[in-house]
Parts: sequence; C-alpha cells; structure tokens
Amino acid sequence: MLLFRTGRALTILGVIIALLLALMVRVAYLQTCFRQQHLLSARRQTHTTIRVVARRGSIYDRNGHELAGTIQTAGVYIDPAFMLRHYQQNGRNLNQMDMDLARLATILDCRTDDLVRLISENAGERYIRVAEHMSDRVAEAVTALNLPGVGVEPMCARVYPMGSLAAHVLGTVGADGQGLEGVELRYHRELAGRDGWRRVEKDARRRPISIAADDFVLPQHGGHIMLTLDAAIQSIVEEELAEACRTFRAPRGEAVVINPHTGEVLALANWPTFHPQNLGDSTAEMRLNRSVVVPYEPGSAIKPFIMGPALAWNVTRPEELWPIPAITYVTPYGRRVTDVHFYGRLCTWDVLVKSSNIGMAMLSARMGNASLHRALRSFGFGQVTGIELPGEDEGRLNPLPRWTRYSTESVAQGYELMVTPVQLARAFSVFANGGRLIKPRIVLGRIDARGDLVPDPRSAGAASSCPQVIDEQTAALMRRIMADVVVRGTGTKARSPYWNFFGKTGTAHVSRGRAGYASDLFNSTFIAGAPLENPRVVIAMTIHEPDRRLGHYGGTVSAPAAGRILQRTLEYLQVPPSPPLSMPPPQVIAVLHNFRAELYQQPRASAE
Amino acid sequence: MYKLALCILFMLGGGAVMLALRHQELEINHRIVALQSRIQSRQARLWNQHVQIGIVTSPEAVRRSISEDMALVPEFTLPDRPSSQRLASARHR
Repeated sequence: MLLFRTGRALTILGVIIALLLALMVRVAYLQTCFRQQHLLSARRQTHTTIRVVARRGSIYDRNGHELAGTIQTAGVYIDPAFMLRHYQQNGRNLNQMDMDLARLATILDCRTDDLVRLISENAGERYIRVAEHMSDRVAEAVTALNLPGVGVEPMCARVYPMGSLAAHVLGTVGADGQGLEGVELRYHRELAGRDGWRRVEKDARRRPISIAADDFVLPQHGGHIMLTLDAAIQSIVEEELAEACRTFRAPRGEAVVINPHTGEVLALANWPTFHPQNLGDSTAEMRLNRSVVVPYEPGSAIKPFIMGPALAWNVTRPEELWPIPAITYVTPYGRRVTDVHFYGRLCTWDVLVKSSNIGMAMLSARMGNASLHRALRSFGFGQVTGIELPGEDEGRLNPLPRWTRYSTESVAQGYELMVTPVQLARAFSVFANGGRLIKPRIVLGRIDARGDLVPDPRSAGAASSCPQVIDEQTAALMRRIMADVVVRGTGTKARSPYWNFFGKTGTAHVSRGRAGYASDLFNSTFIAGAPLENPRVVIAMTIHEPDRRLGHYGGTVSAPAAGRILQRTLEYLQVPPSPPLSMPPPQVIAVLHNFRAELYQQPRASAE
Repeated sequence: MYKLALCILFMLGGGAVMLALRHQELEINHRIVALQSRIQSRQARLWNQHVQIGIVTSPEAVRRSISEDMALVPEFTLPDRPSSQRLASARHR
C-alpha cells in the first residue's frame, strides 16, 4: 500500500512549480525581449515566400499573328549557405556534396568544377541562380534529384515568333523583364502585369507543405496589344528594303507604309535590322528606329509640300511657264541653283514632274519665306507626329526669324530642314486623303479578357477631326501631277503595269555638319501613294548613302523598290487594277516639255 | 492510482487523435499546394503551346500570303473613270 508522504509530495510540487516558473520566465522573455526578431526568425524557419510570376502580354499584328509572346521556363538556384550547413551537420561530408553537384552539373550541362567553385566562393550567400530558361524536362530532373538547397523556380522568357520581323517597332525586353525599346518600352506598364506571391509553410527540407488563404496573392497577367502593322506587308517591305540596300551597297535605309485615311502604320522597317531575342548580335546603332528617331534632309521630296499650298493659294497655275535660263541659275543675290538637265521653259506641272530646282527656286521666291514656312509647318514638319513609339524626333524646321534670304532656295530644294520618314509619310498622306493631316498610329488597341479589341483612347481619333491642310481639289490635282512623275518624270522606275501610282523622288547630299556637304554621299528618297483613283497606301522610303557608282538618285535607288512594295501590297490587299491613266488637261498638255501621249498607253513597256 | 493511469491513457489517446488530425490537415494542405502548382504549370504549358503554335504557323501563313504565285490581282478591270482629269479641269475653269 502506498503511503502519502508530505515531504516527498512537497518536493515533487516544488519541482513542478520550479519548472512552471522557468517556463513562464522563458515565455516572458520570448514575448518581451526581442519579440519581433523572434517572430521573424520563427516565420523564416517555418515559412517561405514564393513569387508567382505574371506573364507579360503578347503583341499581335492587325490580323492576329503573334509578333511577341511569353513562355514560362525554369530557373535553377542554389542556397550555398543552407547546402553547406546541411552536408556538414547531417553526418555527411563535402565529398558527398561534390558528388551530388556532379549529378546536378550533368543535368544542367555544365562543368562540376564551376558549380563547386561557385558555391565555395559564395558560401555565405542564400541565393545564386545557376541556370536560366531550362526546359520542363530539365526542371523535372533537377527536382527529382531532391538535393538540399537546390531549387527550381519559374521564370518567363520573351519570344518573337516571327523572328526579326518588325524588330524596331516591337523593341526589346531586358533580362529583368523591363521593356527597353519600341512598343515593349512604350507600353511596358500595360504589357508587364504584376507578380503575385504565396507564403507557404515548409518542412525541414524546405518543401512547401501548406498555404493559408490569406497568404496567396494572385498574379495580374499583362494585357495583350494589337498593332496596326500587317505582318504580310511588313514582310514585303523588309524584304524589298534589304534587297535595295544590298543592291546599292547602302549602309542603311528606312521605309514606312501607312494607310492615308486612318493614319494606321501598316509597315515600318529599318535596315539593317536585328533579332530582338539575340541582343548580343546587334549594336545600339542597329537597334535605332531611324524611321522615327533620326531626321535627315529630304531633298526634292519636299517639293510637293511647297507646290501643293502654292496651287491652293493661287500663287501659280499648273500651266504657268517658268523661264529656265540655263542649267545653272544665279539668283538676284548671287546664289547658284543647278538642275540635272536643261529644259528651257517649264510649266509648273513639269517643274514637279521633272523636279526642277530652278523652277522651284523661282516659285519659292514668289511665295516668300513666310508663306513657305507656313506651308511646311501646315504639313506637320518640325513637329512630332504623335506616333506611339518612344524617342520620336520632331525633325528640324527653323523658326521663321532664323530664315535668311538663302533659306528660300535651300528649303525649295529640300535642304535646311530635316524630316523623318514617318513625317514624310504622314505629310504625303495629305494628298492621298483629300487634304487632311492625319495622326499616324501604331497601336490598334488592347485585347480584353474576352478577346475583344478595345481601341486605344490615346491613339484613336476621328480622321474627320484632323486639320485640313489643302482643299480636296488641290489634293486631287497634286495626285494627278505626281502620277506624271511616275509616267514621264523622275520616278518612272516605280511604274506598275496594273495600278496608277503617284509619287515624288528626292536626292540630297549628306550633311557633314560644319564641314559642309559630302559631294559623293546622298540620301535617296521616294514617296508615293497608290492607287491614284482611291489611294489605299502611302509609302516613304529612303536609302542612305548608296554606292554612287551603282546609282544615287531617288528615282534610281528608292523608286524601284518602293514601286515593288506598292505593287505587292496592292496585290495582297486585292485592290482592283486601275483604269488607264487619263491625259493631263489640254491647256497643260499644250505647255508640257517633250510630251509623248504613247507613254500613257503603254505602261508595261515604259515600266521596263 | 487507477484514476491517474486512466487520465494519462485518455490524454495519450486525445493527443494521438489531435496529432492524427493535424497530420491530416497538413496532408490536405500539401495536396492543395501540389494541385495549385500543377494548375500553374498546366497554365504555363498552355501559354507555351500557344506561342509554339504562333512560331510554327504565323511565318508560314504570312509567307503564303505574300507569295508571288498566288495571283491575287483580280482579273476584271474597273470601268474607265477619268476622275483625275475631271478634277484637274474643274480646277482651271
């Protein structure tokens, strides 16, 4: 029989009370001194936060072809501090670790020595990424190894299904997912989305075992964007531009194709181009979107933008004759203006068709600097177009007070002002759409969750609200005059057997700044629209510094390629062929230089 | 003494049940996490396949669209409509 002994009971009670007191002291210590640190430490030991990556939105062309997309790949990381501690504490040694790393290196297709050195050199670090953009198969193999301190995390990779197509428009994305250029930069906020995260409870081997509902924030995936570009037209333009640059051994060139009624850019190309996924293979110079960013002097391509207002403001008439005294004309204050050929008398119509510098100098002198400046300003030169691409240059159009008496002839020949190809295409659209200065746009809109297109409020605008630069009749007259440029003027190499084009060539010496102009370097430009009866597309194309031995005039270098682009684009758009081109009005025919009616009836023969 | 043993026994039993329930909760949570990971990986695979489809089909579709032998130009012609001459004449009346 057990006996109750007071002494023994008191001893046990004392021990229990002592233990309880010790426990209370410990609890009090944990709850008061360094409470936050202890809580954080406990959370770190039992929980881990996993980033849930948001997918960057895709970019599509106007027909839904994916131009840029995102795929999810896997990255492999190592926690060197945890790994070393684990192998040292669990009765294993570092040799075992090296053997495990050798297995990992085999899967990752890298050298074991590199992995071992990486870990020994970063022994105190908690996170080192050792492999990026691994396939699912590799990720599963790494996970199956079940190595302590080695983990697999999802990561996103930007891919461009169409390769280098429209690279300058799309731009690039950096390794951190930040848009660097082009639409990727301009619309980064819309495309990027926002990463989510989840805080999970983990076991001793750091494997996630549970998650609370409050600890899960869903990622907001990036939105999709649809561009105005048409991948097919873009392909045509890039192909022809590259071919022209190679043929004439030109270091660079640009081409822009635009819908003159809506301002939608159907294609925008620069050469040389680059692959957005292989940035290492390209230089910053190659990635420059010169069509928007780098202005140049357009040469004679500026002449329609002077003659159009001159006709609209009744400064001259198409049949008015200008006395061209010689191949070189000296202005009253001693400025020499030279033509390529001597024509004798030229009517206003032919001044544009034959691109006479002397005729334009005389016309500009009659207009005066103020009217000239107003005319060019009204076509949007010297101002940004507002296209949704980063870094757009406004070109150069000096303020009127800075113009001198020499500016009159310089500007008339396309010097002393600078334009970008996008500005040229926009300005030329005025003639194609009946006189309105539209705003070029590259983004159609966003694609919402249901897959519907939501027009971009920043770029959508009624074409009818655009300013009227010249009246519709003058625009039609200018189109008809410039159709003659392609039939019997400087742009005959652009002529199509099926459609009537209207266009203007331009050739300008390349400026060397204070050193003057290079005598043997040229910018060769051709701007055109088609078809004449109801223009569907306008193109501005410039080839810079072609090999002079092969050709340097806009009509020789740029016009053939631009003509092919127009023809292939109209074929693709299934535009019905044009009716035969009508003759100029009789009063104009009477004064045209070396007029031959058969040129209008044999388009195929003259195109060849 | 028997009462004490009975108490300890019941406490042990209660503890075992609690542990089993806790284990079950952890097990279910673990399965939820695994399921969630699977959903995300399936979603990612779907995106990847979507892009893969684009890579395989889009360039070919565009190439076909612009190939020169498609003869996209319609065979018919519009009736003769010399609008440009009419406009040009109207301007100089």
